[in-house]
Amino acid sequence: MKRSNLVLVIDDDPAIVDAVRMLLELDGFATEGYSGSDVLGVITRLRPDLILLDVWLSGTDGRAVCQTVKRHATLNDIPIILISAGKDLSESAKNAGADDFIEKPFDMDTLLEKVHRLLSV
Amino acid sequence: MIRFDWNFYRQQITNSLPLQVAIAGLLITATMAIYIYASGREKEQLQFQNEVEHVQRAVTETMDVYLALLRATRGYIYTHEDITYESFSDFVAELQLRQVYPGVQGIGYIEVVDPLRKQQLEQTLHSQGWSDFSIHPLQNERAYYPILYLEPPDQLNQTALGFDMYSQEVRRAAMELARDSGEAVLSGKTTLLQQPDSAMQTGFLFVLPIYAGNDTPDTVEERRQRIRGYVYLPFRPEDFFSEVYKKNGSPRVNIIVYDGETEDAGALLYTSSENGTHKSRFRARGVIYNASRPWTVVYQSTAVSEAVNDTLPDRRLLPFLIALGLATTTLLFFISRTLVLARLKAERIQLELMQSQIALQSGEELTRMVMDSLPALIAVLDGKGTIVSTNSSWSNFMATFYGSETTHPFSVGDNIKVRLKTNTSLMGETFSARGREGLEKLLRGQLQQFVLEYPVTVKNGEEKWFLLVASALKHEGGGVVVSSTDITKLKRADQQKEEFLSIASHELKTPITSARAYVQVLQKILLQHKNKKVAPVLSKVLNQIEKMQLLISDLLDVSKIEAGKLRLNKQVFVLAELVSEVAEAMQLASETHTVRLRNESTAQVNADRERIGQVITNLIDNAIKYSPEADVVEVVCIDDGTHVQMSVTDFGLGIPKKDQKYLFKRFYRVRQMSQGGVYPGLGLGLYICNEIMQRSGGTLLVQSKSEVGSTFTFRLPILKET
Repeated sequence: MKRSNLVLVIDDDPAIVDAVRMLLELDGFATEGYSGSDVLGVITRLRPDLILLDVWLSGTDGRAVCQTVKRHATLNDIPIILISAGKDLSESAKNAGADDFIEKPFDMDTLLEKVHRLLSV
Repeated sequence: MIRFDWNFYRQQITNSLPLQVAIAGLLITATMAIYIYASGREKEQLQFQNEVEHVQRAVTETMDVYLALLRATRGYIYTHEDITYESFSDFVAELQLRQVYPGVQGIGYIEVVDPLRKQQLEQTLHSQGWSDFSIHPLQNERAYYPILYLEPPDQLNQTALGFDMYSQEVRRAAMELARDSGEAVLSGKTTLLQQPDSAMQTGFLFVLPIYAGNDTPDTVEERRQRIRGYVYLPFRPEDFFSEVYKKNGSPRVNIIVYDGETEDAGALLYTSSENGTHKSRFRARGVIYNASRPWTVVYQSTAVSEAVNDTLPDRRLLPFLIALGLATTTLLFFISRTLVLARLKAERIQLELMQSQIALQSGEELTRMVMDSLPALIAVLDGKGTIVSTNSSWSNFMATFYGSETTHPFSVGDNIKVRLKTNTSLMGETFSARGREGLEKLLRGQLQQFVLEYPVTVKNGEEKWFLLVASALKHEGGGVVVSSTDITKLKRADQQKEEFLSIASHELKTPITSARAYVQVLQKILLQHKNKKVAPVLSKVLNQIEKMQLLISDLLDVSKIEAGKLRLNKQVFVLAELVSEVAEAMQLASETHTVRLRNESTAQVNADRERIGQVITNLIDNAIKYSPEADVVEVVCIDDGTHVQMSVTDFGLGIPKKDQKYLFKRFYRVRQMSQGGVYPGLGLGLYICNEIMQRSGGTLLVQSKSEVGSTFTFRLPILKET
């Protein structure tokens, strides 16, 4: 963790965004949060090093967003961890091209572990 | 107006028919019996009368014979001027009196004798040989009427010679009457001289006058002047009537004869026989005048003749006839009674039949009313699948959604099999796929009952849900009763509930996730600041949040199971490895129990690793939770070549037999006997485990004994390596 990577946290619930950002920042990451509807716009503008993306978004499906990003010419290399309250995530996450997934409510250590792993590559 | 109830009277007549027959039969029998009896009686009566006439005639004839005898004797006297004892005796001997006229005692000649001529007469007779002849008794001074001759000359007759007949009143009266009338006269009852001491002394005299000049003078005066003598016949009634009887032949009647015109016992002349105590059937009375003398004769039928009559054929047949009549009547009575009873029974059966028909009709009406009052759509199909009856809910629904009131594809007379084959879209996919098959199986008799929930998109595009219950009819010819209940509202409520559960659990998860995240952040901050007092508290907060999270997770699972949306992400893995992982994790979490693990399998399964892990977690967690007094749970994983099985055994309270069947039901919770309460939790864990197992092609079983412990075992098919 020599340089501070930017992690973008996208969730409908600002509380989740807030809590996850606090956690990541404690670990030394730079973070941005977003709870709006222009998800792609934010990603394009910020170009984060990693995206924590909730599936259940207002107005859109996180998996569709994930798919779009992964097929995007310039954004496709950004690792994405899908977050969902559902349990049957693994398959759909794989289909959407996500690098990893985590179920709500998640354990913070697990989350940190997944973030570290993706960013160290 | 009084109405004539013909039926009522007909009924009465019908009912009393046997009695009428019996009465008619008895009347006919009685009439015939009386007729036969009466005609027999009449015949008998005639016979009796005939007999009576015979007797009367015989009496008269006999008397006529006697009269002729007297006249013959008088004629002899008239023609012979000097009659001597000799000549008279010869004459009588010529008559052969005793042989020809057996009733007559004799023939006598009486001469009127002037007292002056007495001496001369006595001397004359003395000279003729009658030396002791004398006129006696000498009572009359004007004339004597002695018996001069009396033949035949036997001892008895000879004693009477010389007796003055005028000396006795009865004889004298007869003689005077004969003199005055010039005719023969029968005397009254008198004592015969011939038998003075005998019991048979009673007798009569038949007297005929003899006049001088040998003819009968015209006037009484002349007759008195010219009376010269008499001829007479003495006889006894016994002899007389014996004679009559002899003429008559058979004694079919008794006769009782009285002298005079009355039945005076003192004047009794003759009784033909002793009739004893026999009460005669017929009796007649007649008065016979014989030579101016009345005799009263009483005729009685004899016991013998009655008995003879009783043996006549028609009389003898009478009892048989009566018996036959009675028997016939009885027979007819019973026959007609049987007929009437049979008829009454037939009428009663007909009435019962009518009543049962009415009952049947009202039963049908009742069925119809019940059917029409039900909200369910009901149709009755015959064995070939043709609709024979529908209720109003059915026809209303079909008319509303599949056509008009008069024509829709599921009316009475339509064949449901044909309709479903040609109109597959009508009843929706589910029904076309499964309902049709089920109905056909029912109609073929391969199934007794068939239940299906299916959705249908009706005319206006609305989706409706129905619960179909089709039952095979048991009677001959088969058939099916189809009942379809609209459960759309129920289904909607169910869907709403599922949606609610899904959203609610999602929404609940979100704050829990953030709360947990916050707590973990706080833990990290505190760790960095080396704060040892707050950290344990936070870990307890985290613990509670995790429990809550599990509960929500269960709720979400249930809602998925209910909605049929529980999806399994199958992958190939070694079950034993998963068991080890979970067991280790549980061991780390438990401070009270040792998880004793025995792993003897390396078999692979194709299942949702995560879900199977959930099941193992749940089972071990339960084992620890429900054996608070114990300190160990056993986890065993083995295989038998086809199936791999994992079991968790605890040494806790055990589950009563009666509760075991409810274990896998939703919201079931084991009661804690000692405290009367229940263990915490929603009662969903085992239900979810069982559902996961069933959907994974496995089974979940429980063995338990109260106060010993429980073993939960699941089995999954082993994936064969190719």
